[in-house]
Parts: sequence; structure tokens; C-alpha cells
Amino acid sequence: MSGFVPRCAKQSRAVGRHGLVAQAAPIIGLFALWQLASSAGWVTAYLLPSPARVAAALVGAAARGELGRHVAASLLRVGEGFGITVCLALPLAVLASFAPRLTAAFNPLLTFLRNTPPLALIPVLILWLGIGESSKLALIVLTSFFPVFMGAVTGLGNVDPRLVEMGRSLGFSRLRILQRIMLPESTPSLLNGLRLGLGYSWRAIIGAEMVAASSGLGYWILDAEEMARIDVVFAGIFAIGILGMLLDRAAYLAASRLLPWIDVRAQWYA
Amino acid sequence: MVRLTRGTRGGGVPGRESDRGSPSSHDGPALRLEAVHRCFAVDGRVIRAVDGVDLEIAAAGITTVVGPSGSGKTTLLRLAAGLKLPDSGSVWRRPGSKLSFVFQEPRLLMSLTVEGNILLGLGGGRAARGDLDRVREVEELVGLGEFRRAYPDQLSGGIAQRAALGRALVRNPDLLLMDEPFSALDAPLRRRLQDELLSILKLRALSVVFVTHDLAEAVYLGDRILVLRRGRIVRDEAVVLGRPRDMRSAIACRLQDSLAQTLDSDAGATSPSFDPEPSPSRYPKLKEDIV
Repeated sequence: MSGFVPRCAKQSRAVGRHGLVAQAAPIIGLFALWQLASSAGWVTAYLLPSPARVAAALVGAAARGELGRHVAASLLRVGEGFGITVCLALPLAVLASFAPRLTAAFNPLLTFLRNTPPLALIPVLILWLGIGESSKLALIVLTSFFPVFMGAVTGLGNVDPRLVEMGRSLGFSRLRILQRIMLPESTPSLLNGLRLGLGYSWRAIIGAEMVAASSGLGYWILDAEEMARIDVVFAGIFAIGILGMLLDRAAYLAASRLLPWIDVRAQWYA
Repeated sequence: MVRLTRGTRGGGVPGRESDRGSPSSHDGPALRLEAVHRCFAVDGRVIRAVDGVDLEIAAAGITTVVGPSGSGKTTLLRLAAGLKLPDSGSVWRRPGSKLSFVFQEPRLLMSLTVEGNILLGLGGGRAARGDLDRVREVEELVGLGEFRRAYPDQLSGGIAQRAALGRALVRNPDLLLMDEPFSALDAPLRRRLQDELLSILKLRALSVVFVTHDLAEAVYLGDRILVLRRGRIVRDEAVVLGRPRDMRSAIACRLQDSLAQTLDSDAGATSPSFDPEPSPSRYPKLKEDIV
């Protein structure tokens, strides 16, 4: 029988070791240029501290436990906020896909909300929820809700109706069709939404923590700005960027582990 | 018999259909259609896809249905399965009987292995202990043993269609409805799967309704051949050929020629019939249905 295509053949178009070197080269080049500019005195250290100073600030904060505390606070907020988003967006997306007329009625309202920058809502959120944790979580939820919701709605809406008919021919109930056919079939789009949503929540956290927080990477940056510690500001920016990359990588690994039938790599790096 | 009426949905679930027949009627036909009509609206016009079909399908044997495209073959099969409901008339099945449907495309779930897809045929619930043995048995039967753990995107068309056949057979159906299941395959593979189907059917007595547009296939497989034109059965032929069938024998050739004549005897046969009454809004739009 000649019908079998081994899995490994599919993964050969992956980013190999060669690609990794290619990806590292521009980063190394940028750092080298930056160090050169600092050493040669082309830029004032007040505007752009040298990479060495930024690294020292990062290491110092890590040694004092300051970095760990802020990272943990931020991660916890993202985890909570994103968790709430998922718990809200997925059931609502299922509801929307089962009640298309209801969804159509809500469409203008949803479009309005989707196009309102969540940062613009900060004053309102503080007024309603105070300056505690809940206004920060609300901001994360507002930012990450739509990518997750839209990803799920698109995925569920694009399930091949012929597969649904197949389920009916097997005597499946609507719930079983949702559970066994529609949800698994919509995972690629769902996954895309979740990934975007996770990235959005990570970005929203900084906005959230610049609002009367006493911990978190956003607070750390704002605090450093007030102390005129530009090296710490840069350290904070790097911490956020690197953690965001790690989160994305972790999500990628989880997805390729949990969803073996999807070529996650192709989707992720498309 | 169990009657499928408007409002009854779902293919093979006998529990959800109103059981009005006597359960002992096991010798009766597997399927009965009485004055079944079904129309669609296309571009503001009404097409009578199935136009008054009376039909009884015996509890065993293969009934092949041929007809030009647009003659209502697929609609007829979906009405029999309960995937569509008739505008008027009734469809009856034996109480407690199980049916399986094999579509033109494999319709496998990308998220499941071949084994998982076949297991789906057992209802999609949590797998019981005996279920996996049953699946293994069917995998051997349809020649899928080595592909058990493969995903659908790794399969060729023939293997994928075997998996779809496995999903249908694992239910142990009394009635197997097949909608041009081999038409997307190349000729040698089609012939091989036809023979495999025949040898599987030798092992278990069930009733098969097999829709095809290929006359040779209809003659090769059918114990009975129905010719459908413009939503009506225009010929009902019992096939007297033995098995294995030699398609080059004089009788087989004559039968095929005569069937071709029946198909061609009406110049307008390939265009669906149009209803002159302008009341299309009563009928569902065609695009909502899968044709």
C-alpha cells in the first residue's frame, strides 16, 4: 500500500539549526553596533545606556530578588486575566456559533467594543473598579477577549458542514457534534486566537501596571523612569520582551504536544 | 417499521424516532419509501429533486441506483438516511435497525487517527472495553491494520475511503447507504474496492443501497438496479448475473447497453425538472443543503 506519508516528511520544512543561526545574526549585530555606539561616545549614556550597563542593571535586580518579584507579579496577572478571557470567550463563541441571528444583532456593538483601545478605558475602569487588582485584570480581559473570541467564532464557523452532516449520519446529538466534530476541527483557528490573545494580554499588563501598582514589570519601568534610571528602564523593556518570547515558545511547545495532527510549526512561523 | 417524519432528525438513532411498528417485523424490508417528494428552490425556481418515489429495499443484497447528475440520487439517499426529510410522503425503517452512510468523500476528522475515526462510528462517546477490539476487527476487514495510527492527512484517497467504510461498518449496520463512494478514485483502485466491498458483504448479511453514475459499477455490484430520472424511478431491474461477474459476458454487456438506452431515451434527461408554479419560498434554498 502506497498511501502512507510519514510524519517526518512534513517537518522537513521546519526552521533547522541553519535557521537558528540566521535568526541570531541580526540580534548579535544590533548589540555589537549598540555597544560600539556607546563606547565611541556617539550617543549620550543618558539617552541610551550601553548594553553592559543594561545587563548590569538586569543582573543586579535579579540578584536582589527585585526582578523575580516583578516578573512573578506580572505573570500572575497575565495568567489570571488570560484565564478569565478564555473562560468567557470560548463559551460565548460556542453560543454565538449556535445562535447566528443573535450574534448578528450584537455585531455593531461588538465592532464598537473591538475598536475601542482598552487603554482609553483606564479612567473608567479605575472609577468603577478602583486602583486594585480588579481594574488591572479587567484591562487584560478587555484587551485579550476579542482575539480569542474571534478566533473561536471563525474556527467554529468554518467547520466543513459536510463533517457535521457526517456526524448526523452517525446519529450524534448537537452537543456531541460540537464536542467531537466542531471543536476539534476548529482548533487551528482557535489556537491562533489564543496565541494572539496571550500576546495582547502580555502587552496590556504594562498599561495596567502603570496605573497605581506597587509591583510588576510595568511598575518597575515607571518607577525607574521617576528615579531617572534609564538603564533600569531598558532592563525592564528587555525583561518584558524576553518573557513574551518565552511565553510564546511555551505556548508553541504545548500546542505541538497537545495537537499532534496540526502542523503547529507551519502555522506558528507562517 | 419506524417512520421518519418532519421534525425527526439524526440518522441512525432509533430511540429518537417514533416507534409505531411491531418489533417482530424482522423479515420485512430494510427500508420503505411511500410517495416521497422533496423540492428545492434554486434561483427562485422550484426543482423537484425527488418526485413521488415508492420503493422497498429488501433486508439483504445490493441495490444500485443510477441516473444522470441532477436526477435526485443523492437526495433520495439522504431522505432514506433521515438527513433530509420529505416534503410529503413517508420513509420507514425497521425499528431498532442501524444504518450507516458512506459519502463520496471520506469525511474523516483531521484531529483523529484512523483508529479514532473508526471508533467515532460507535457513537462518539467514551470507548468501552470491547469497542477497541471491534475497531481492530474492522480495520483488518477493510485492510487498514498498518494505518491504524496514521492521521487522515497522511493517507491516500483509497486508504481514506477505506477508513470511512470502516467507520460505517463498525456500527454493524443493517442498512448501508453509499453515495458514489468510489467515484473519486482511479479505475484500478475503484475495481479493487468494489471487490473488497463484495467480499465484506459475503461475511455479513446487510442491505446496501449504492448510488453511482457509473453504469458498469451498477451492473457489477447490483443485485437490483434502479434507474432514476427527474426524481422518478423509471426502471427497476433484478440482475440475474452470478458472481464473480464477468463484465465482458454477453448478458452483462446487453444489460449495460439497455440501461444506457434508458438513461438516454429522454433528451432532456440531464436537466432537472422545473415546477411551473412560482412558490419557491416554501422550499429550502439549495445552498443550505449539501448536494
